[in-house]
Amino acid sequence: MCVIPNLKQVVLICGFLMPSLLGSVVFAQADAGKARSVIISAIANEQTHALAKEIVRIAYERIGVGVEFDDLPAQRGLEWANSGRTDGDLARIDGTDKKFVNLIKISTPVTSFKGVVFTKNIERNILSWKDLNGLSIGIIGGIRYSDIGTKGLDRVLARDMHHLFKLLEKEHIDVAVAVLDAGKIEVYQNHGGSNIHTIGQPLFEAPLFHFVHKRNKDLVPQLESVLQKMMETGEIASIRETTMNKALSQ
Amino acid sequence: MKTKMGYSLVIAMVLFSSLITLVTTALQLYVDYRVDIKRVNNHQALIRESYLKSITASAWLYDEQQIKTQLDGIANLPDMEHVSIHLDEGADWSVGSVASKRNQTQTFPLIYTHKGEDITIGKLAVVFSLDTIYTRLLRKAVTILAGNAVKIFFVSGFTLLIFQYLLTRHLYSLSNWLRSLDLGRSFEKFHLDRRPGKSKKTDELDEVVAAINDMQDKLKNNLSALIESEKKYRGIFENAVEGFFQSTPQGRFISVNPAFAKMLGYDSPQEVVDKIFDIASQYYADPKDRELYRQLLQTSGKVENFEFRARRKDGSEIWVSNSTRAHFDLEGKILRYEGFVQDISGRKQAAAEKEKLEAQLRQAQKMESLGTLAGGIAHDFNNILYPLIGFAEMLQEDLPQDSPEQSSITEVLSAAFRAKELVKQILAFSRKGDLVLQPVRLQSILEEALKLLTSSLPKTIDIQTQINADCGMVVADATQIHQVIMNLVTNAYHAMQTSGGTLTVVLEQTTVDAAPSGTVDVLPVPYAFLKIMDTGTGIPKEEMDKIFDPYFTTKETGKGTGLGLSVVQGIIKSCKGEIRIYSEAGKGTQVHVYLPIQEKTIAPMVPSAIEPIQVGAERILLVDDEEAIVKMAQKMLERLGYHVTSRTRSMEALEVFKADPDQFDVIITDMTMPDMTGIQLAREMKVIRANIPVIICTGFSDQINKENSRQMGIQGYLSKPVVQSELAKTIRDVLG
Repeated sequence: MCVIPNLKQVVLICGFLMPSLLGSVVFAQADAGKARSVIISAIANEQTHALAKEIVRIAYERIGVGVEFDDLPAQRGLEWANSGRTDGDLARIDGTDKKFVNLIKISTPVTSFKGVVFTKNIERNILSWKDLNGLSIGIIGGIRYSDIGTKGLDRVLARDMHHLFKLLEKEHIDVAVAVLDAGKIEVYQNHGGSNIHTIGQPLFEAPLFHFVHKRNKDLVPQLESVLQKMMETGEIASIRETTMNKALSQ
Repeated sequence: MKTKMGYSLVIAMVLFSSLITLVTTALQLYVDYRVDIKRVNNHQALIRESYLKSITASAWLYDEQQIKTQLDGIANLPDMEHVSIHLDEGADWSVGSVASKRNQTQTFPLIYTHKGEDITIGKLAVVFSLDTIYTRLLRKAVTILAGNAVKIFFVSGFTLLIFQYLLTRHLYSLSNWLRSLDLGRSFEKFHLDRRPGKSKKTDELDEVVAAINDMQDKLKNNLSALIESEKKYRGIFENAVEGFFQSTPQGRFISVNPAFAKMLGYDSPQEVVDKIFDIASQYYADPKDRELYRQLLQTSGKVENFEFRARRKDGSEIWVSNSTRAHFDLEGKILRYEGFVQDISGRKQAAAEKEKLEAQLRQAQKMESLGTLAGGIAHDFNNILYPLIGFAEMLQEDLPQDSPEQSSITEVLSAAFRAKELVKQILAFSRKGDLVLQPVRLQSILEEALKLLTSSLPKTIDIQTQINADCGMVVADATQIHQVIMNLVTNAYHAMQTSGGTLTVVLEQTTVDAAPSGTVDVLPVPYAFLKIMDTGTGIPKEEMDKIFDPYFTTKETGKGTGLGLSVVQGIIKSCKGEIRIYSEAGKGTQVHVYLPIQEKTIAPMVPSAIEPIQVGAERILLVDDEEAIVKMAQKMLERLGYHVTSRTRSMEALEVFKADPDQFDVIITDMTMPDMTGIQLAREMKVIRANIPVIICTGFSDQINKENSRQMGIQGYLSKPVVQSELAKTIRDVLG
C-alpha cells in the first residue's frame, strides 16, 4: 500500500535532511582546501622497507600527497592494506595483489631484494630451498617468499628482523632466511661480532612494488609517472645507496 | 514364622533410607554441579588472565604457529570442547569441535594496543562442554544410588534378622502362650526363650512379660469373683420374671432370657434369636408400634413402659410393656437396644374388665335413677289414673247401655288403660314392675308370638326357626317374655323392612360356660339361649353404647318410642338373665338372650276363669292422701255395698281405728302417704287388733310388692289403678 506523506511530514523530513546536505557541501569545500595524505603499511624493523620508505615518501611528496608509515608486523601490514585500514603497502613482491585483491600494484619497483641464508655456525653450500632440509629455519612471519620457500620444512616464525636475528644469535634456529641488505644492516647495527654471516647463493631475488588500496586508484597514474621518472633518472638507485650507506655507517 | 512387623520395619527403613539417599544424592550432585560450573568459570578467568594477552600478541603478528600452540593449550583445559580465533581480517584458527548438546560458550575480544590506541583485532571463542559435566554427574548419581541400594539392602536384611531374633520370635511365642492361656486351669507363667544378658538388666520385652504375668495373676485373682458375679447376674438374667432382651436396630434379637422366650411361647431363648429375623413383623402385632418405638429411641435414647401388642409364636397376641435403652457408638449411630418386657395382658384385661364393670355400674346407676324416677312418675300417674278409671267405670255402669255417652266413656277408659300399660312398661324397663314370675315354656310363647308375627311380616322376609323342644322352662312373666319376643322381632323386621332378608329365631339350652362372662348377674346354671338374628341394616358402632338407653331410637318417628330395648333389658334383668347384641352396620344384628333354666319343676299357674263382680256389706276404713282417690274409691265401694269410712291422713285414720277397732272389717290403705306409710299404719292397727285384714293399694313403692306384702302380714295387695272387679275380688278374698 502506498502511503502519501502529508505536508507536515514533508516539512519534518526536509527539516532533518537539509542540515545533512548542507553539511556535506561545507565539508567537501573544506576537504578541497586541505592537503591529501595517506597512511602506508610498512614492516617494522625491516631494513628493506626502511630503504623503500625514502623512495616512496619522495614519490608521494612529488604528487602532492602527504604520507605516513605505519610500522606493523609483515602479515598485519598486508592485511590492513588490503582491508583498507591503511591506504597501501610500502613494498611487496609481484603477485601480491592476486591474493590481496583490494591492492593495486604500482608497476615501477621501488626497491629489490635478495633472499639469502644467514647462519652463525652452519657450513653448508646452500643453492636452493631444498638445501635447508634438516635445519631449523627462522623466517619473518608474513614474508611471502620465505613462507612459500620453507613450507614443509622445520621453521620458526619471528616477529621481525630484529627478532629473527636474535633467535639466530641465541642459536634457537640454525639458519635465518632474510633479505640480504636488511640482514647486513641488522647484523651491523645489532649483532656485530656475533659471527652471523651469509652462506650459499641467494634463494630468491625479486623487485618490490608499492601497492595502494583501490580506493586510492586515482593516485596510481601519478605514482606510476613519478616512480618511472625516478627510476629512469637513477634517483631510486641513488636514494637506495645513500640510505644503505647511511644505515651501515650508523 | 512370618514377621509382618519386621517386614513393615524393613519397608519403612528402605523407604526412609531411599528418601534420605535421594535427598543427599541430589544435594551432593547439586554441589558437584556448582563446583564444575565454578571450575568452568575459573577456566574462563584463567583464559582471560593467562592466555588472552599472549594470544592477542600472536594474533597481532599473525603468528600462526604460536596461535595454534596457544589454542592447543587452551583446548587441553578440562571440559574444553572447542576453541577458536577469528580475526577481523577474516583469518580463523580453531581446535576441537562442538559435539555436545549442552555447552557454554564464552567469547573474549582480542584487544591490541598499537601506537597508544586499543584496537580490537578479533575474538577468541571458547566452548565448554556441559555434557561431560552432566555425564559425570549422572555416573556419580548412579554410583551413589547403586552403592546406597546395596547398603540399604544388606542393612535392611540384617535389621530384619535382628528384629526377628530379638523381638518377633518372642512376640509369636507370647501370642501362642496367650492363646493357650486358660485362666481357670493354667497357672504356668510365661518365660522368654533367650539367654539372660551379662548385665542382668531387663529390657522392654522383660517388662512386657513381667506385666503380662502380673496381669495373669490379677486376672486369676479376680476370675472367681468375676465368675461369681457373672453367675449372679446371669442368674438374674436367666431367672428374671421380666423378659430381658438385646436387639439390633435392623430387627433381630441378639439375646433374650428364658422369661422372654416363655412369654412369647418359644421353647428357648435361642429359638427366639433364630426364628425371629424381622422383629417388626414377627414380634410386633402392629409394625407401626415398632416404628414409633424406634423413633422414640432415636430421639431420646430410651423408652419407658412402651405398651404394645406382641405376637407370640402361636400367633396369639399379648399386651407387653417395654422399657429400653439404646446404645450408641461414637458417631451417634445406634448399636443395639437393651431392655426388658413385662406381660401386662392380665393388667390390660383387668383394666378392660374394670372399665366394663364401671360402665355396667354407670349403666346400673343410670337405670336405678331412671327407675326411681319412673317409680315416682308411676306412683303419681297411677294416683291420677286410679280415680279416672274408677269414676269412668262407675259412669259407664250408670249410663244406660244405649246412651250416646257410652262410646265416649269407653274411649276415656281405653285411653286410661293405655296410660296404665305405659306406666307398666316404664316400671318394667326399670325392673320395678309388678311382675308375675312363674315357670314358663319359652317354646310356647315363641310359637304364639311367631304365629302372630308371621301373618303381619312381608313376604320379603324369610323366617327361619330352630326351636329346641327340650329347652327347659324359665321363671318369668309370660306376658313380659311375649313382649320381649315381639319387641325384638319387630326390631328385626324394621331393620329388613326396606331390603328384605332372613329372620332367624333360635332357642336352645346351653351351659354356663357358653354364657356371657363378666356380668354381675350371671349364675352358674343352665341357660335358655334365645337368638334372634336378622340380615338387616345393622347398628353403627358409635350407636351401640346407646341402644339400651330409654327413648333412644334410630327409627323413623312413629315406628318406635325408644323404650323397646330398654324395656326388654329391664325384663331380662328382672328374670336374672342377660341380653347381648352383636351388630355391625350393613351386616345385620344378632340378639342373644340368656335366661336361667328353672330346674325345679313347678306347675304353671292356670289362669282363673272370669268371675262376676262380687259385692259385700262389710265396714271398710279407706285411707289415701289423694282426695280424688278417696272420693272415687269410697263411691265405688259403696256401690259395691260396703260401708266406707274414709280418711286422707294416716294419723287420723289410726285415731279413728283406735277409737273403735272393731267397727271395721277391713282396712284399705294407700302405701305412700305423709306421716306414715301404709305398712306402718297397718302395723299400728294390727298392734291394736291383730286380725284386722289390711289391703295395701299402691301407685308404686320400692318397699313393697305382692310377695313381700304377705310376709309383712298384709292380706291384700292392689296396684293402682285398680279396676272395680279387681277391687271387689281382692276384698272378698281378704274377707274370705
